[in-house]
Amino acid sequence: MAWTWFHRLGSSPWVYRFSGTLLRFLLPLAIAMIVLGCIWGIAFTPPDFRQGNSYRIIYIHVPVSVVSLAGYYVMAVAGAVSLIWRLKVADMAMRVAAPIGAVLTFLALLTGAVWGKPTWGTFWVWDARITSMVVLLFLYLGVFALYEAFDNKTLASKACAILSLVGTVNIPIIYKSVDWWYSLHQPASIKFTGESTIDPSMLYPLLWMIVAVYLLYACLLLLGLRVTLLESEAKTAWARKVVMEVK
Amino acid sequence: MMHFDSWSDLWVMAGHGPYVWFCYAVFLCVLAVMVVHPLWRLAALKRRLKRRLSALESNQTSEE
Amino acid sequence: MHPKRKKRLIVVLAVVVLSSAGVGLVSYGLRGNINLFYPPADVVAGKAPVGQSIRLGGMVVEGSIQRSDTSLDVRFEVTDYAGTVPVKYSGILPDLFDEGQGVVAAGQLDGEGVFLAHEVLAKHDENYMPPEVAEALEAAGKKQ
Repeated sequence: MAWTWFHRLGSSPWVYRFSGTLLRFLLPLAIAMIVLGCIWGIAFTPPDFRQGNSYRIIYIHVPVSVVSLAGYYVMAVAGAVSLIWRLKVADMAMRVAAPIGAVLTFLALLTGAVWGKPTWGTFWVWDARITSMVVLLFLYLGVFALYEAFDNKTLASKACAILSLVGTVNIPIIYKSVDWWYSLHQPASIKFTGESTIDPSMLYPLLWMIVAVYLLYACLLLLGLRVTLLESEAKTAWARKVVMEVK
Repeated sequence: MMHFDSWSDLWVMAGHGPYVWFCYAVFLCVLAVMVVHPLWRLAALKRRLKRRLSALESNQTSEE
Repeated sequence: MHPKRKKRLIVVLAVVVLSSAGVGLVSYGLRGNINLFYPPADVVAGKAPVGQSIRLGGMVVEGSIQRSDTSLDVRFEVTDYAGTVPVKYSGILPDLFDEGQGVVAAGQLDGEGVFLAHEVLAKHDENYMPPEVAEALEAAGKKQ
């Protein structure tokens, strides 16, 4: 009984149909939340007592960074599932997660650099946090490139899954880098234990944007999954049925 | 309540405008591309498959 | 679980554990190099190299900033409450540079224990609040 959902994941037509239904309301919700969150962060939050208005970049920088870290676990877990259970959908999810994660990591580095100029006085410093984020970007790009490098795609998937599993060690390092080593980047403001060091009037829009970017990440993953599914199973009966529905 | 008193205040942000607006613009543009790209790819793929499928079918009927 | 899958699961766990252990050992060995800066206490204790390019990080001591009237020269002291190092710098300081605030300076130590900086960066902390809240907090702090 408990395993039926897992077996459904092995059924491509079910995943394709279910993701389509899910996206129909998830994608508009995610887009609306992001647009509202941006307006909230830009115009309707108070400025910071020390940084002034430059801190408004937090509403992009933090959500994008958080999801780029979480997305790595999505990719690694999908890789592990495809290694152990040989689940085709998991293998596709791993491959789809790599470029999305790379773009999010790049956005985190870019917004961080732009924020660094007016606050720290420099765009870039090779401190532990920033350097480990660059490593994350290369891990994402590495998984993506590794898959393309192999002609044998079964072998390619295995190699990518192992690379993403090896890379998971980097995630706690990124998260803890500001506590373990002396760095220019400040420690986290949102704390899981104890009180956050960010005022509620700034915390709520930030949490809102984090949820919004998580939702959008789910949408992007499903969208990529649908393309990959249809592409790789174009010759099957269910794919024909899907295609014939197109006007 | 909007924090800024005027549109020009919102635009300039006491000197931090370029940094903030640049980040939001890049963020929204990149996200838009990331959403539209797979949608566009899926639609193109469906069109291509459908063309191939109908070509196959008309071939079969003409042979009969 | 199927014995074949169980074997694969063990391989997956081994990959994660072994690579984590490897990276953990390397970063433990390199911990000195991963730190971006030396705290003043290490500099005072003579742990920082003299005449080499290093970074110094800490808090700017209250009332220690002395600006030149004719040039961009500035002197201030950096502390971590365990040691204090005087810093000399000539150039534009970041907006957030202030007394009682975090700072990271790049430069080198001279023989007399003075840090000659060629770049000064502001290090801000993890506190975010509106100006009104900060004022209220300060007012409440002064009353006590």
